[in-house]
Amino acid sequence: MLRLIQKDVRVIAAFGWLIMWLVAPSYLVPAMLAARAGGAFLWVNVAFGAAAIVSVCLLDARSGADRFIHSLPLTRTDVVRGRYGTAVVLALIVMLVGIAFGLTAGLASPDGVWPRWLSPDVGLAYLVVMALLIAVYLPCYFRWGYGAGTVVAAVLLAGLVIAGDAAGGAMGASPPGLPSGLVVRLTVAAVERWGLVVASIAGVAGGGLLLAASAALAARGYRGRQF
Amino acid sequence: MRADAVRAEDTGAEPLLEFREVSKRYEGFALDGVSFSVPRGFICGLIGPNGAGKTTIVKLLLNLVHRDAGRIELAGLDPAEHETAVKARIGFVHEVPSYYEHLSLKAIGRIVGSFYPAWDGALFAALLTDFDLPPRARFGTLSRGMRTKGALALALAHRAELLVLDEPTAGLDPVFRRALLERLAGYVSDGRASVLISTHITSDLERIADFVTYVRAGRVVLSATRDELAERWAIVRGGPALLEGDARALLSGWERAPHGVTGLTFDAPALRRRLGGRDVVLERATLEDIMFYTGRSC
Repeated sequence: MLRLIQKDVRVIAAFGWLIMWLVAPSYLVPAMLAARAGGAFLWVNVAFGAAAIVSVCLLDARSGADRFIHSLPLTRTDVVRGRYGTAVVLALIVMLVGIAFGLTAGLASPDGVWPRWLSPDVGLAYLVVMALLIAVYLPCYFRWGYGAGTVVAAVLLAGLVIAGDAAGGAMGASPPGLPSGLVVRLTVAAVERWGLVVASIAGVAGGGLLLAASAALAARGYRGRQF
Repeated sequence: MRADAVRAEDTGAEPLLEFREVSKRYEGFALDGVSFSVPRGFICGLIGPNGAGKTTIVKLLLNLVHRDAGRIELAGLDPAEHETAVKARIGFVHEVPSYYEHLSLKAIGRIVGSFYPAWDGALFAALLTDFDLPPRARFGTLSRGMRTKGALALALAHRAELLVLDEPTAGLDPVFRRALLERLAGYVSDGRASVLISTHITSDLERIADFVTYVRAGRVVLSATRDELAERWAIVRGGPALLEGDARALLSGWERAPHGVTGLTFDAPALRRRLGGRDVVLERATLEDIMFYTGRSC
């Protein structure tokens, strides 16, 4: 699995210059508007995390590398696990980039108040959202391929976002400075109730279980495919 | 028409690859009971017209499609059960090699090498030099012939026991094409490795193949050594007597020509005996002749 993650990181790293040009301005806008639009920061992170994961799949599809990957001494289950590993690594890298920009924005804040959205509970919420996103996207990708799989996953994720936003809204007004949405609300509430350590363990364990179940489903779909 | 399956035992060499009664059914096409062997240390050509089933055979070997029946073994291992071990022994060169277009050959070599225990980085670098390939050139900027050379370097550098080449010479210049064939002959010369070439450019195989397996419409029409083909298969030209009685049964295919009949026999010595002193001419059949006439059933 490690070799597949290294492969994917090498493949996407070649676009590092493009990513830097795109990432910096995209983070700076919400960072500069942090007082009013701090909640957007989480979704900027999620958008970049999703884009990074989809890009790796796109690069395979665009270059026809599927055929090359199938000739390597790997089982299809290995390929699936490797891509899940890559997705988690990319989600963490994007989180680190987000933290770096967030810290810069927080330190540069003129009123000296640390923004509410730059906090461990929102970071934990990001990880849970990314686990959900990966758990929905990758089984679709492995079952239907890049094109159809991405469309199916987009429809499913759009449904989840709408449902999550509606459910979050039903819980009452969002606390100031926090993004809306069910996952964020539940994560913040869990941290308040059980403390950061217990909530983090629960969040990471839950996300891990979700990803394991999703990977098993993806491997099953992928093994059934013929090329 | 006949479908003799040449077994590796016939050569006295250990079989490296074996297909036994392998079937795969698609909508509108079926690979039906395919059997052939590739002994270790030999080059086997897989020929047939487009859509005959050659690519399906390669896909079955790489476990890209699932067989409906039969058995496939590479060095005694079934690719469906021992996928990793089998693929580690295979070097595959596709007709249109596909790697990450934005990466250099050197970077692709680093990636590919990490998956093979027997990867030889020095050999890969030497092969790039031999093939006149710039290591830092992006794969997407290479011509089709250069891509094939690059894919071949990648396949050779992990010292594969079985090289599987799917239409490898398409897009190659004649000079490199000849050099490639010589290199393949050298690759099997120590008796460790074998080569399976799927192609419809039969002239290449006539130079180097030890065995030829001809597939048509999903079935193995013949599987024979090059020597056996030369001895037994022949083009025969003669009068209408060729189509009479026992002689006709010895023809795989025929057509009427302006001055008589031209056909293909799968048993030239027997045909000679049957026709005695009659006015017929027998010539050595090329693989192209065999493909052409067996497509014309009597």
